[in-house]
Amino acid sequence: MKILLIDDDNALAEVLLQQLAVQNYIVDRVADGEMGWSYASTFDYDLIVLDWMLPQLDGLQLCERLREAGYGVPILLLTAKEQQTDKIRGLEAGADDYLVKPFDITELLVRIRVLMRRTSNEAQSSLAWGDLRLDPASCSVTYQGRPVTLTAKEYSLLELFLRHGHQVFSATTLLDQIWSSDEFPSEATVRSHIRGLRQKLKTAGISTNVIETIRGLGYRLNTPSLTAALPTRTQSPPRDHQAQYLAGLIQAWQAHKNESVERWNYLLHLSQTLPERGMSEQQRMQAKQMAHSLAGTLGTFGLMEGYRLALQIQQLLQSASAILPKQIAQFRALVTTLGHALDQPPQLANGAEDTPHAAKLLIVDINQAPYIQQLMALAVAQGFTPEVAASTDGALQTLSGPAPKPGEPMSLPDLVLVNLVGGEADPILDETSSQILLKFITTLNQRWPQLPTVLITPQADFGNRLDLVRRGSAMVLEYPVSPKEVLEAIVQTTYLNYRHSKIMLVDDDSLYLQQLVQLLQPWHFQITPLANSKRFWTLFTQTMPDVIVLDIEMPGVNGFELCKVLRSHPRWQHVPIIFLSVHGDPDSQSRAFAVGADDYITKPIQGQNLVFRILNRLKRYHAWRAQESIASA
Amino acid sequence: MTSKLILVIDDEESIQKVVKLSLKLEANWESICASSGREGFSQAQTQQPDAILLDVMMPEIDGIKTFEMLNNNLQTQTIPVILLTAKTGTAEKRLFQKIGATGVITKPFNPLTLASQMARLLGWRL
Repeated sequence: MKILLIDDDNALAEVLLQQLAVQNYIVDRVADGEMGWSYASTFDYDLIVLDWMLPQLDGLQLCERLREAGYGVPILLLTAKEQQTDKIRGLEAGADDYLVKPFDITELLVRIRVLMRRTSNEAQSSLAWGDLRLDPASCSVTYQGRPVTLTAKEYSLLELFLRHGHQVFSATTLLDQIWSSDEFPSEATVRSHIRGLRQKLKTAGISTNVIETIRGLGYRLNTPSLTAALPTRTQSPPRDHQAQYLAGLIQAWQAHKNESVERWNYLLHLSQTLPERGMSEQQRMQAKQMAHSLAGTLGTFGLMEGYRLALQIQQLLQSASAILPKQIAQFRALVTTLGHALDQPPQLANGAEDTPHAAKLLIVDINQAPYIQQLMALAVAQGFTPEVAASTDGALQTLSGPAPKPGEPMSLPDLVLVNLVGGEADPILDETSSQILLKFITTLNQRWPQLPTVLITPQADFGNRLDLVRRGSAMVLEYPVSPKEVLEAIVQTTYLNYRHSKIMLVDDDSLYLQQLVQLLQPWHFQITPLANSKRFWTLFTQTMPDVIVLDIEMPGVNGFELCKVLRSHPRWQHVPIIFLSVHGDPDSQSRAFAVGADDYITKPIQGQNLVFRILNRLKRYHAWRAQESIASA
Repeated sequence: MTSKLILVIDDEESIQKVVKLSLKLEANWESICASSGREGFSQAQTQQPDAILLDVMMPEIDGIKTFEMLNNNLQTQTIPVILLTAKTGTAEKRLFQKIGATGVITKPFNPLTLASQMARLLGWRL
């Protein structure tokens, strides 16, 4: 369970952090409302503990802002105000509970537990494990449609395991989550209830042990038998390997995750004490080593966001000189975001090639806002290459860059993001800074009209929006906006030109085709899926796609042959062809490129990797077509 | 092909496990693991593996020193060594080539094709 603590009182926060950690809660703490907003809208929490009196954006305003944005997580408001009217104001602002300072820590813990329990009861969607179904709305459990009768504790245990599929729960954690403090249960109680639950599920007809024991660690939901979970199609050996490998990977990660968490803790502690105590050379070397080990481990386990963040931290610590004051906030933001990345489950990654070829960003932030640091860290995690310019001159210098080598294009960023937000106390930018930035946006558009510009501003009414659009900005985001939303907008803007591009997917596995279509859905492409490769030519000439994604092994006509057919036609020499295959061996890859492929991706696809590969191909294809049309004109 | 025995030298136990699993699943190769350069050197002498996968960045005796130890010993100098390292620059790559490593694999590696990647560097057929 994760809690966000927003309180500027260092002494109280320290006590709370300690007490909440004892209760196995994972806590992030920030000291002002703006950072609270940034964290809450970026990371997932189960509860927010919020102080009313905060610098800049106060607790009440933050609470209102969160609720207006549709934020549903419970909020517990802490305050020194004890008037009845204050309580009403707090609850009206959207808080779920209210505690007056000074308070008894035990009471706070009880209220947190009650709020969390209330929320989890409200999560009503049905949970499934193979043919086993748990319906939280009716508190009923069925297996293959037949009811399974469980006691309340057995039901709660099963619900917890189903809700947190990959998590290992120690007996102590289970006691904390399922049993209330006045029941005085022991670990033997947990064992006995798990035994009871297993027995009942077995009697219901489930042959696999639903809850497995992880020696020395606790209990976890087992993986449902693959043959039972998948439809009729026989699995090819590579996919079996993948399933086996993933199971092994999850097991190894559970056993060793703590080592990574310890390393992260070291970095976190260092980032927190850095402003007061600085960093000795020995600490820097040690931190660099920790970041290096973290990158190695996280990359191996397919936690690619964590891998990218750890690499960036390592790079930040590379310089022999001490960390610069302006880098402190960046270091802290990277470390905090890394902590969240550690909670992701391990995945099958395609190794170093897995980093999506995402956009290079130039962020112009003359106020050096902590909010932008958070955005930077998240951008790094998602595979962007962000660079911050603290002045418009600096930004122009970066854009003008060193002269490119002969024959090479200018290395421009893919997008420029300009922060038009003032200080945290008053988001409206002062007149001088505002004029400087507006002039910069105009210059940007005159000198590099092809470069999309995204702006964040608190003044996004029609008049201002019109002015900004006239100056050439492609997208205007109204502040407050979460870093996550900014990045989504960036991706959209960078690739805005490629919406409605036509993508043809050819794979004989219809189920897989469906998954691909779903994966590409948010990008508004026009997708033509095809399972029967013999019908390729008819469909191809009808749709004339902008990109073709081909599987290799298909009955009748295989992917290599299709690729050769296309390349044998003068008109289709340049249409981008991406191979998507389970075969990761160099021979298959070389063969694909030899017959004319533009790219080769090994299954399984990680996250948005395929999307970025397609977008990159589209980008190059469009550039080529533009050049061709200029030449022919 | 007959099963191979690979010695994995890496101070991270978690990575040892992942490598072991990858090699077994993809190529049915067996592996033995060592957590330090010193332990790896001694295992190489006694176990005589078919190849060694050696992490470059390790505390105390790093991968390069371990490689030198292996290279200077009659019992181990003929065993091919593949270095396992984080993203490398050109200067480092040149160094690895100069010291005579059979190949370099960059971390993070693709676990599903690690054995083929090794086989290619070693000139083995899978």
